[in-house]
Amino acid sequence: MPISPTQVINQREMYWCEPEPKDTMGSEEKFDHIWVIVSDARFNRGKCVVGVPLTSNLDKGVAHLVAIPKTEVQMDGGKPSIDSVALTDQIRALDKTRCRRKAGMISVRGLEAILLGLDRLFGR
Amino acid sequence: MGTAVLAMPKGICAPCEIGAIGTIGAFFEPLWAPADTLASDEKLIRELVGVLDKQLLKTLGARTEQEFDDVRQKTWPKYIRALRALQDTVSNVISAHQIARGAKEARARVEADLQKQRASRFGEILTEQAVFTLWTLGKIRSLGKEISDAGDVSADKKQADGELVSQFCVSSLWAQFHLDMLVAAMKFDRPICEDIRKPICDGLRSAVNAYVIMKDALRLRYPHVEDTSPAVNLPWDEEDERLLASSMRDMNANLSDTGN
Repeated sequence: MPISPTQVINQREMYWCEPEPKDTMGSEEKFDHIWVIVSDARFNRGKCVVGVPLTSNLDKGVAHLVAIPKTEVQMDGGKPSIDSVALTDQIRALDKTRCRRKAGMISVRGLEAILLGLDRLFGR
Repeated sequence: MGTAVLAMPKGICAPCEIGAIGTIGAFFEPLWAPADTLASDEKLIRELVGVLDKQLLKTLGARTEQEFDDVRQKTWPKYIRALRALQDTVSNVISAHQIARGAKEARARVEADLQKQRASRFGEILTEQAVFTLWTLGKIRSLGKEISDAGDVSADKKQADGELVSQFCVSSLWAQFHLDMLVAAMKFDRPICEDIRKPICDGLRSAVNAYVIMKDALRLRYPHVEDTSPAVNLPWDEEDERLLASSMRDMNANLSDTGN
């Protein structure tokens, strides 16, 4: 069920996010990514949250595109976790209403690894 | 951080052995006062560096990933023992200030050398991972200073802190081991076989593990306090709506090739 604009989305939560419903019809899985919410819920404005997508293409895990071992990810509904890579350079504003359903939660250490990648990306 | 994608050997570095270093704070505490380096100290240091180089070159000599794994299993414990002996010796004869300054200069020098040999020796991916690892080690050093300044943990947190020390030592030394391989390759002008670049890259990645463990150690000293301040309620207008829609539209084009 899609998220309502007023629903609170917390940092570390992960969502399946749907960019353009009309574009993904028939090939939904192809374009679906899990997004880790990196913004603090207190600072989310309007229906906006900030997220970083995960990919299962482990070859992309280089430098600030940090690898996230499956042990750092807890999927909802007992689904198995998989190793992934956080595409930190794809960080973006997400529309809450396009967060189709909650996928799970990343650990504190997993989030710290992503924030480290973002620090590098932003030259901090 | 788990080690599922890091292929780190288990149990090679006994926690009790590396735990003997002390708490994470102690790991970064100032060492001895400055002292003159004696000729005998210099000789010992040279010999220990020689032992380290030997282990690193042996590992780098592997031609396949499997051979690299096998050799690394044997050289890693020897590398650790030699490194500990070297660290003990150096910390007795060189001041903490000199070590810190030297480490900073060494990081800058190694980064410059890595960049110079990006195309000829390491390739794009290995160079990027190595430079990121050097940068992460700098962040770890800063965190170490914060932890050291925060002081020791209370008695009820000693055990948790000790576990973090063990995890930190293994992860940071594993990263350093692989970084030292690259330094050895430059020092002795050795090529790095294409097949062993990936496992070296994976080894370098454990610096990220070391970093997040340090963050845990810092949280033990400065526990997270739930922020109960109200949510920021800034206005949202048409411009924001358009920008958000644009961000969502771009998503398809940018992510369609990521192979999730």
